[in-house]
Amino acid sequence: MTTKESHSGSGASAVPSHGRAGARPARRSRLTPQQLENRTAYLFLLPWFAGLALVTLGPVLVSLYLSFTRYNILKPPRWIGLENYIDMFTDDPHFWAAVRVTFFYVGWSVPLVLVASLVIATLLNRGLSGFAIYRSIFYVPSLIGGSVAIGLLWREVFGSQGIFNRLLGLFGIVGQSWVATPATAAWTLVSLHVWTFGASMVIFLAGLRQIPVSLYEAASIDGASALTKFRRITLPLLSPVIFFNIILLTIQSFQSFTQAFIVSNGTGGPAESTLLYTLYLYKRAFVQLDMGYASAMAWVLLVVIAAFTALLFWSARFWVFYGDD
Amino acid sequence: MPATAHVRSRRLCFVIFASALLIGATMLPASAQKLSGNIRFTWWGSTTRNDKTERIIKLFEAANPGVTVTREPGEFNSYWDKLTVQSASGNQPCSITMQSRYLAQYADPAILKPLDDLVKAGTLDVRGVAPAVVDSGRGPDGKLYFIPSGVFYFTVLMNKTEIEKAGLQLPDDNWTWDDYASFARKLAAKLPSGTYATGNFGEAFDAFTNWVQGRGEVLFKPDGTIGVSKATIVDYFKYWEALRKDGITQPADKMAEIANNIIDDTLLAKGRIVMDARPANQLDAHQKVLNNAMPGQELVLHTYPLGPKGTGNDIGSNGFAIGASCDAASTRIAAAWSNFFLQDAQAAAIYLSDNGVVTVDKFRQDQGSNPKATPGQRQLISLYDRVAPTAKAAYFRARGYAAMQQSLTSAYQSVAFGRSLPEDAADALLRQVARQTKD
Amino acid sequence: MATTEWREKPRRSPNRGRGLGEMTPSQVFLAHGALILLALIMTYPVVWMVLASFRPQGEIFADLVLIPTHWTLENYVTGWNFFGNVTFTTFFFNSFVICALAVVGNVLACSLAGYAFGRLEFRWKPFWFAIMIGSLMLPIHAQLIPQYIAFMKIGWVNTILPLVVPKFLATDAFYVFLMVQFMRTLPKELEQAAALDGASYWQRFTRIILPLCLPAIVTTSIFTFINTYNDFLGQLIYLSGLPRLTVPLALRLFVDSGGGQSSFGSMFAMVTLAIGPVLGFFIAAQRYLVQGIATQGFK
Repeated sequence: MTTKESHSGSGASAVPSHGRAGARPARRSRLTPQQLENRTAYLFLLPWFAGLALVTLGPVLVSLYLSFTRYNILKPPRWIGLENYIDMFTDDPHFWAAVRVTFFYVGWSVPLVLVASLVIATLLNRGLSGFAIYRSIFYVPSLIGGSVAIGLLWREVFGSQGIFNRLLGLFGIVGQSWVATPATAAWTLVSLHVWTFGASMVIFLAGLRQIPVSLYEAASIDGASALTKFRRITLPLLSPVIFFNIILLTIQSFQSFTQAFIVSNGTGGPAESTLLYTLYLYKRAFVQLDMGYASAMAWVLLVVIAAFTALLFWSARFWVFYGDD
Repeated sequence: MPATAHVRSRRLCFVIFASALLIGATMLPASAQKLSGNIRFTWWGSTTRNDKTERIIKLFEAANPGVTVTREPGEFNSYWDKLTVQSASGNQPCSITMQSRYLAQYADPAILKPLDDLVKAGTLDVRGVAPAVVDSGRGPDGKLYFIPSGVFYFTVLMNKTEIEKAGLQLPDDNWTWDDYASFARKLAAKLPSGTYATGNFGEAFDAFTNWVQGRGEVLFKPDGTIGVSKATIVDYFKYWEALRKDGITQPADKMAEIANNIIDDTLLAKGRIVMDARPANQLDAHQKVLNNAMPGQELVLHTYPLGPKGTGNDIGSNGFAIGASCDAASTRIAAAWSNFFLQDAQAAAIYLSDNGVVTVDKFRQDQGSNPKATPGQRQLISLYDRVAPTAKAAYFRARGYAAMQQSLTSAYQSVAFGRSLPEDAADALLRQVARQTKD
Repeated sequence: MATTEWREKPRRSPNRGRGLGEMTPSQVFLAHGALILLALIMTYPVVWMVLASFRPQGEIFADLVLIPTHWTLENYVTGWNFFGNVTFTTFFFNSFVICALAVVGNVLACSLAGYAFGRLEFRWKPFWFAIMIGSLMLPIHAQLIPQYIAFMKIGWVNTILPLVVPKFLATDAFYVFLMVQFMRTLPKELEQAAALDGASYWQRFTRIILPLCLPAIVTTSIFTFINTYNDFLGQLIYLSGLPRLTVPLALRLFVDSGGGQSSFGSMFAMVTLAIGPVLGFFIAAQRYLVQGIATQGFK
């Protein structure tokens, strides 16, 4: 990769190099050190720039264009203006079903995961033996929770023949199929997400460790109870980490796809109770090949996520506590 | 000089003989010419069908050394998207399994080659296939786009043993939907709890098609607009709701949970449902599972009930299409392959109407009267002879089948789970189909 | 950054007793009780499934007893050969190929970008850095469709290229960020000394910085592997046809075209095998994973 080496390009003085024994003698170059650094940086960033244009940002702009067209692959895109958006908001009950299901899913998953991971992290941080074992056991589900494999397991666990119903049977309760009943299907998805609280927990553990012990000791001297210490010290000082976790969880939850697909076998059923927004988008794009409409949906998602993120950032000034005090 | 005259005459003989050979050779039918090259062949199916297809391909390759067939099996659900995506970039295979219900979307010379000329020239061999059946391979523009190799139709699969145990007799061919309902109720009264007289056909698309056609309506008109009326849909939902609420059918969550394409899971195959809506060629598969679950019980095929305007039986076909991007040499191979599959006796004996009743009359008669045929095969063919003359092939516009089927499931599920009234669900169904089939 | 701290596997939390205060024995007992109960509940489904995969098909749903009475490997054999000619050998191979290439791509591209953002100063750097961070929050769905159309037009659909090539273009901003964080912590003197000796940027990058970044590289590799291995949507839209399927796609076909409930045994067996690699990585390298996750939180 000689192009990346910081030889000066045009008009370099021809100082002969003395073999590759070691470092080269410094070349007299026409570029200032800073210009050299600039050029080098941009060279190092070449793959990233290519990715940005071709894979990351470029498609987003094309997607915007497509959202104003009707395009089902077999014929070229046909400009229809705002029709996709109008249809989406006024004539598409599936869209609203997907929005409802997604908000339900995000609205329950994020708080539950947050609370669970914070509580467990705090508990683990109190010096119990077996810390590493507990941490591992709670963390592993988040590694496999997003996989098709676990999605299939979950579908069986909560199916009419699943172990959940068998467990209920021990108490004499006859269970239904939890994944095939509209009222409960979305809850099985939420439960799966909550099952993966381990990743957030690990982040909290790291954050807890950063809190100076002296603060707690000072509070103990003042006779504060554990609960008070938690409210007055832990939470405020942990608030940046909480904030970070909320953002991460929210963005992830909005984009959740695999488990909804597996649990409903790609249908979003029954009766659209598991039709997450991304699943509906997938169906419009890759099953019905309605690329224009799906692009419009993608942009709406983008705007919503951006709005949520902005809202969270704005709210941060009220409750996120940076710096020392 | 006598010596040269002799040589000259011999030479003349030789020339005449050689010319005769040459002329004779060019008059040989195309199939006897040496074919060589490769074509891609795509189809859908289960492992059993894949095995059968594999064996037939091997026979074909053996009969035509120099020809190779690239196998591209797939599963039904994603088959059509894949084909569309491939066609969009001109990358579709040369030999494509096509189905009448999906044809409208691909019936375009830019995607599939029109085959009329090949049939007229004899390159494509459709001997033994009734003209009406051949016509099922025609697109909306009247051009022939695929050669039908198998015809499918739909039936009610019944557990004869359970019916007779309940003291009833198998209904006759002239029963109506009202008869069906009262028959099911009588049956239900005699069945143990946990076993249901009939499956819930509310989201069973084939049964719905039958209902609609039995009332003299069509799902899609020839111009592509929706033909079914709201009233018909509402009545359909109400019919099944009445049965479901009285426990004659399985509960809603069981209906939604069980994917009907997995035979082992269906309640019918487990002996928990006595009558269910199934494609006619699945009797043997169900019987096999039932033999394990409830030994000694026998399944039989039965026609759907009649509607107020007569039979609503639907019929469709699967067959061989040729991709538009196929060049001349490959087209000949694809045609030869199609002919082989259709006309070769060994191939027919292997395939045994796996993807629909075989269209070549001779083979159908042979299979029907073969003493070694399974009950499923025998009934498949004998019922076909009764159903085919009066059946009406439902027309599906581009993307229409998928749209109707998904909308029906969605609409009926919302009714069955108490989330909407039949009238609203029917409206939703019609609007969804319109939306999904907008051009 | 607390790099060294994480090298030990603490038996107890390092903040032990010094945070919210020591707990009374009864509190400790309750805490352990609650944690153990939670751990049991959380692990039960997976444990049940793994054990069930060793039971004969007929006994899987027979009772709730965890430990099988009859052990058998038949599910593994049936499951492995479930789809006929194409076995899970192919599926695992396909998955691993994609993952391996993705790892190589990510490590290369993200370390390059990480070096630029983390060790170099250049014009417009804050702007580009903000863009990189912003791209973290971009939902992939806004990119999915045009990418698909583009790949379709150049004939890459139904190959692994759409899944692998973007990795070589540092499109996973998360790992760029990870690299940046890590590289920032290395002292400037390391490079300055080399610069004085006349080393080029490239040499400094490859000979000094990169070797020191081993923890970050390992973390990137492991996470890339796991995320690529589990990437269902990407594989779903770009791969079809049995010989090209990956493990997640093959698993899903169990449900679609399998033998239904009578093939649960095989499905469970294959699911167990499917989560094997991920668990394996975890056991082998958990400190990297944990550290990698934790370092995210600190900007």
